Amino acid sequence: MADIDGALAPPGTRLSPRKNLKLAERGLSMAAGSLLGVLAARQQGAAGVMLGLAGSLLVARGMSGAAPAKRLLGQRPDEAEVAKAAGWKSAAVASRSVTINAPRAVVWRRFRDLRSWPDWAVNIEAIGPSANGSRLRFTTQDPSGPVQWTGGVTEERPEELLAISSDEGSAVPVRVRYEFHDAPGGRGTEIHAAVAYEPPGGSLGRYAAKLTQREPGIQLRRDLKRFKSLIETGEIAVNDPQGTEPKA
Amino acid sequence: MRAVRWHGKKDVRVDNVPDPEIVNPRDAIIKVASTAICGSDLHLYDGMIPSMQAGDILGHEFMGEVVALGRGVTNLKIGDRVVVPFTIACGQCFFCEKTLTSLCDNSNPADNQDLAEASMGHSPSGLFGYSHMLGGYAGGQAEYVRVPFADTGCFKVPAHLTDDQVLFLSDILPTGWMGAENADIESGDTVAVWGAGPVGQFAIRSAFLLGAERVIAIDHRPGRLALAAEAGAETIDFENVDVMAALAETTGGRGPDRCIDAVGMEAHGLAIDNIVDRGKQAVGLGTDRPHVLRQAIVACRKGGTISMPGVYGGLVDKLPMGAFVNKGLTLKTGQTHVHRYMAPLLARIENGEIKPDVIISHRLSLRDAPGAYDNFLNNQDEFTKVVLQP
Ligand SMILES: NC(=O)c1ccc[n+]([C@@H]2O[C@H](COP(=O)([O-])OP(=O)(O)OC[C@H]3O[C@@H](n4cnc5c(N)ncnc54)[C@H](O)[C@@H]3O)[C@@H](O)[C@H]2O)c1
Ligand SMILES: [Zn+2]
Ligand SMILES: [Zn+2]
Repeated sequence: MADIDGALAPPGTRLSPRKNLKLAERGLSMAAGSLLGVLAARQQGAAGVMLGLAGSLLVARGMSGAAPAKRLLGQRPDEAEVAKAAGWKSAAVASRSVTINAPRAVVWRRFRDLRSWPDWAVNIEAIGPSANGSRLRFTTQDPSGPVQWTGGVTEERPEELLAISSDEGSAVPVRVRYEFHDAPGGRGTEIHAAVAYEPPGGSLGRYAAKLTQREPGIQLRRDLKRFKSLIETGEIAVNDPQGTEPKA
Repeated sequence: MRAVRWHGKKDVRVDNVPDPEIVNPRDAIIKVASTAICGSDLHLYDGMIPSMQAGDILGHEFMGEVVALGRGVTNLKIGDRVVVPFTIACGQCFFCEKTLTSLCDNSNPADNQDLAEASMGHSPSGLFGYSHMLGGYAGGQAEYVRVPFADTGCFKVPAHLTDDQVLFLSDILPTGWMGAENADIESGDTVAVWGAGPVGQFAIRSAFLLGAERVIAIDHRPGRLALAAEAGAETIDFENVDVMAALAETTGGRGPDRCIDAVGMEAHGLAIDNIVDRGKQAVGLGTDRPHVLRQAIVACRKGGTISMPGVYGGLVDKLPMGAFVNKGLTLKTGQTHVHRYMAPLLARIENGEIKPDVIISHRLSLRDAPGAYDNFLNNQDEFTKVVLQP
């Protein structure tokens, strides 16, 4: 599990092969495509053209072994590994890095203050100690409303690494990991972040979440920017109120 | 308050909207005294810039009086008379520290940055009244406007200068200046400036101040060309003269040393390539009409520089890249880093080197904005620059 529990995989090494079909899948694809081709030849007009097109796409898919739709919607190999290790049905992993124009010690101190995360993380309403004090209690926003769950810091090296994981069986199965590096040339601090979660509703659920902008990868990207702004400028830019009428 | 709002292509109205309020500690509210319509606003008016929403308040060239301040602003006081740069900048990020303020990392809100990143890879700074991709901020063609990061964004101006003299420090004067500066002018150079609109006018004047020996202005509006001639430029009317032949001949075959595109994505004229681009825009196949950029590349002297203050919004095609490479040209561009130029240009206004008010043709009330937009687009020869007073 290179990504989320060990060191973060270096950029660009997270495999997502373009040729992602097994031999049997390729054979099936070609056979189905040829069948459509035969049917198309018997059809008249637009229906025939559409069938023919679909058939040739399937044949091409089988011959090349590349299925872009499957690549877009399915799990990557590293995600499958995370799912297996975490005991989840499936996993989605998103990563993002940001550069903050401030020394590592300052960035770490502000980041490690978990209680202040709601200041910049839009989906987090509160983080505090759990009832017995040994765990962390998270209140986060779900499309359906606020949810509460417990988790804890699983690994920590000051100014270098912070990893947080939800407890087993929690309502929100998630693991996050943040690494802190000096940017080259004295250009501040880089945070390299990865979030892994069990998408409700599997791969399709993840895609739906993306469409509603509720997907953790999108949130991660925006939250890191907000955190950066807060550190660099002392505030987070907002454009409200614009006077724009809400869309009907 | 009253504000000029965009409701769609060629549909601009003066509406009543709620007054802005202080939201963040570093905010200020400005009571607008003067505001102008920019050539960039015409790209919005023509529906050329993506991510506008009906009801957006327009305007990015404005000045006025500070009437409210957030608790984080300590270098301004209520009553200060200020000009506001159209680029919003935090003053503290990597880019702001390098005075590249139109590239500020923090002034475009995180959600809006997503829109910019999707098409550009990275997000530039937020702008006032210039689409949601570039900030989604309410603009200054209004009675009041909220200015974020006001401590870096409000530039105090002395009482003895009139609004007309200092208003254009907000955009077009620094834009014309940076357009000339980016052209790497050396003494003795001949500089060709496409577009004799407000930006071109200031680029022409700046080019002379930066050491150009000759400046050639290209446009098809006689009034605007006359204004360029007043500044000492030679002129080419592209409707009646073959621009490429004229430039080659008048420079002894060398071509202009430096070329400035102060026209941007909506070139006029009936050149074949421009007609094709117009067709593509009409059916949504293309976004920009880079006719001027194409001309500049081919006209420019070998080893010369092209500076492009003119705004492009999306994709261009059929650029003569072979000419660009084989002639060893340099291209410089960008939204203007306005903050960087305000103090030095104010000094040049005070000592009389630059007279920004010469380009103003109309002073109207904010209520007249819809007609002013229409005239600034369709009656350009008479309407060189419109200033609105709320
Ligand atoms: N980079 C920046 O930060 C910045 C700031 C302000 C404005 N701008 C841009 O600068 C450009 C000019 O602004 P403006 O306010 O002067 O606009 P404007 O529309 O008033 O002027 C443009 C001029 O270009 C002329 N023109 C059109 N087609 C031409 C052609 N083929 N050859 C020669 N001239 C031609 C027009 O006749 C007009 O006079 C616009 O694209 C605007 O968006 C950029
Ligand atoms: Zn402008
Ligand atoms: Zn900045």
